[in-house]
Amino acid sequence: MLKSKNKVGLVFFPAFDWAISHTHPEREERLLYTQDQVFEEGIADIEGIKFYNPSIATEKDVERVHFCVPDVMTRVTQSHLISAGGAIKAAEVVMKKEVDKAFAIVRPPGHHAQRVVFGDRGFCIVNIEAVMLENIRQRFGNKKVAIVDTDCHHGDGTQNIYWNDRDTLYISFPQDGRTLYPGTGFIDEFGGPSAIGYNINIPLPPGTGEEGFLNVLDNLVIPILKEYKPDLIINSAGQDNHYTDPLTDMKFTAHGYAELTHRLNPDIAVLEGGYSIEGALPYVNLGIILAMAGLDYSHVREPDYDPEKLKQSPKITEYIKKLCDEIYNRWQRREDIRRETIKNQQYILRPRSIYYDTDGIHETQIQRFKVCPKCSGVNTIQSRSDWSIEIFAISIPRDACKACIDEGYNLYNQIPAGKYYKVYLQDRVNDVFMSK
Amino acid sequence: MAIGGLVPTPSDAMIVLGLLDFGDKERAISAMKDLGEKLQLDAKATAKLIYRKMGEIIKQEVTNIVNEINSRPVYTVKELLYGKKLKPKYISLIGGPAKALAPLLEKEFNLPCYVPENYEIANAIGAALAKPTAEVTVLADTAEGKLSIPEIEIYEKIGKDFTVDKAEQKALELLREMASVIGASDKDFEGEITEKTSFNMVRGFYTCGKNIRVRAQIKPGLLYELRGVNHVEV
Repeated sequence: MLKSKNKVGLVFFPAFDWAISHTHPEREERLLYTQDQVFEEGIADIEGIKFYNPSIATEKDVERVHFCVPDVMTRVTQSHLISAGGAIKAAEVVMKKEVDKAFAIVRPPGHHAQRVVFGDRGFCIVNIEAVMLENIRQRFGNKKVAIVDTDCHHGDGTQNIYWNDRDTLYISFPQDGRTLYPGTGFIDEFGGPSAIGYNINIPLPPGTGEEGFLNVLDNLVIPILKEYKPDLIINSAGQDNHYTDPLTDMKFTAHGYAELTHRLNPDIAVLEGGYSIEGALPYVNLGIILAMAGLDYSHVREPDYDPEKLKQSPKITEYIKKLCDEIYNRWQRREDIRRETIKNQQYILRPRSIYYDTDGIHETQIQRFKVCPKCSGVNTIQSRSDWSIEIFAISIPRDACKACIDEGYNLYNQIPAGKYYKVYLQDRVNDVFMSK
Repeated sequence: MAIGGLVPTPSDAMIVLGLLDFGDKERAISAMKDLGEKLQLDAKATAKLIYRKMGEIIKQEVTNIVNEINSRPVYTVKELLYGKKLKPKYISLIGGPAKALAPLLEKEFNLPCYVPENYEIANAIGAALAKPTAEVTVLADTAEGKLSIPEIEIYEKIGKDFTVDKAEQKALELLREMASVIGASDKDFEGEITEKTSFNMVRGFYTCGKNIRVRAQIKPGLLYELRGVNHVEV
């Protein structure tokens, strides 16, 4: 019997009875062919690979991350709680050392869901990685974590949630935001005042292939991770960089994804996007599972794989090399950039506008970060949707000092009920959430 | 060893404790004595220790099996939220030492234990009375216009209008044939659908067909309905 080098936990939950709508790409049979592939390749028979059912995330799990308008249960379905619960289960079995690594192959995905949630954007309502991570931080202590997002779309939700948190390094290498939803993920989105340098975007040109992705990994991502020294590496394992994906323009392959997983060596992987449900997902998922298990993945190949056709142009190779040099340089200068950005300001404002493509909502918001010498600083979001709903949210971060905790509660108490549609207080120090 | 074996068994222990009565009791006692010497226990105490340990092991194994059944993978929101979970309410004990074990297991599981009549041969009676079993899986892909049942090498053309209901019908028909081949009488045939899915398949951005999967089996059960001596026909 085949035995894996690493013990791997798999949470495989295809949610065959749930879809956004009848023709939506995030649909019932999205993981059907993956299931066939995984079973036919005998993954379940490999000694050292164990399947787990998802747990169900709670309202409280979601409230550690999101401000749902008006509240969690109005915005999310059971499927979202199960998807997040699947990620939690995967992380839990790793934290309890039942396995060395775990992969949550669950849907719907989550990395476009931001702190404020008015509705569904990019097929996401609940950020499943963030809900997972805050759940395990609550139970197992404040881990230093790197999230490496290998989805083709920029994980603007994860970026937004960990924007001001230097204990969570977010690295994403999406298709250039000038050419793809959600239109973000540029180099200068570099982190909030307390975490400048800890949000790293590497916008890749359309047409990037295996060579480019592995270059980014070897010459930029891995060196940064070595310097950052995270306790845990989480991979947001989107699979839509694949050459067959209907929504994107990249040339990545199943073998490339397996190789990337092997080199990145994540502790936990969570499926994100990937809508080529027959051409890519079965092979990419298989490749990732084998790579995580430390087994041979060299034979994982799509039926129509043609290395000649999938070669990236020399121009792209050159462009990516320069891009990586530039970003690595910025990473090394992050303390200087922080000083130049903050100067003597006590509060830093960040106005943004956010579009919910799936639900057609437009949100405008102003984030206000306190620059605190002792902690990440209390911060607020004043936000309004184009359905004329205005909310105010106060967040006390996990590492908040006493003064910032007090400032958060004072602010909450001073705002009269009725001034906004809803006022929220998220106190991560005491794991308290309230709204009025 | 009481009936001539070479190594001590839990039966020897139960014979020593007077819970079972067969074989050569002296040999059972000497087996327990030998084992007990190393533990500095007399024959009776050794037998008691084995008896208790057996209860613990049975409890552990049964718990493992129940856990395994309860954590078998599910793939739909409905099953995860509303799926049945096994939670034993009582225990039926069958097999040779059933009666001897009942008080022990009752305590160990904290559940009532029942020992039916003819418990020593209940397994054999069950095997003799069980219906033969068979299973069939029908896969249909309306985009390709193909129906396949690989285990019996059936591959057929189907039209775009093939449905999950037709697949069900087909599965039950084939199952009936299979049942008669393995000797089940047609009159008693009772099939049931154990799995049924139908997915719309999308290629590019258009629905191109349905992927249908149906699994059917002969409903497990008894060949004859057994009735107690007091049964009254109504």
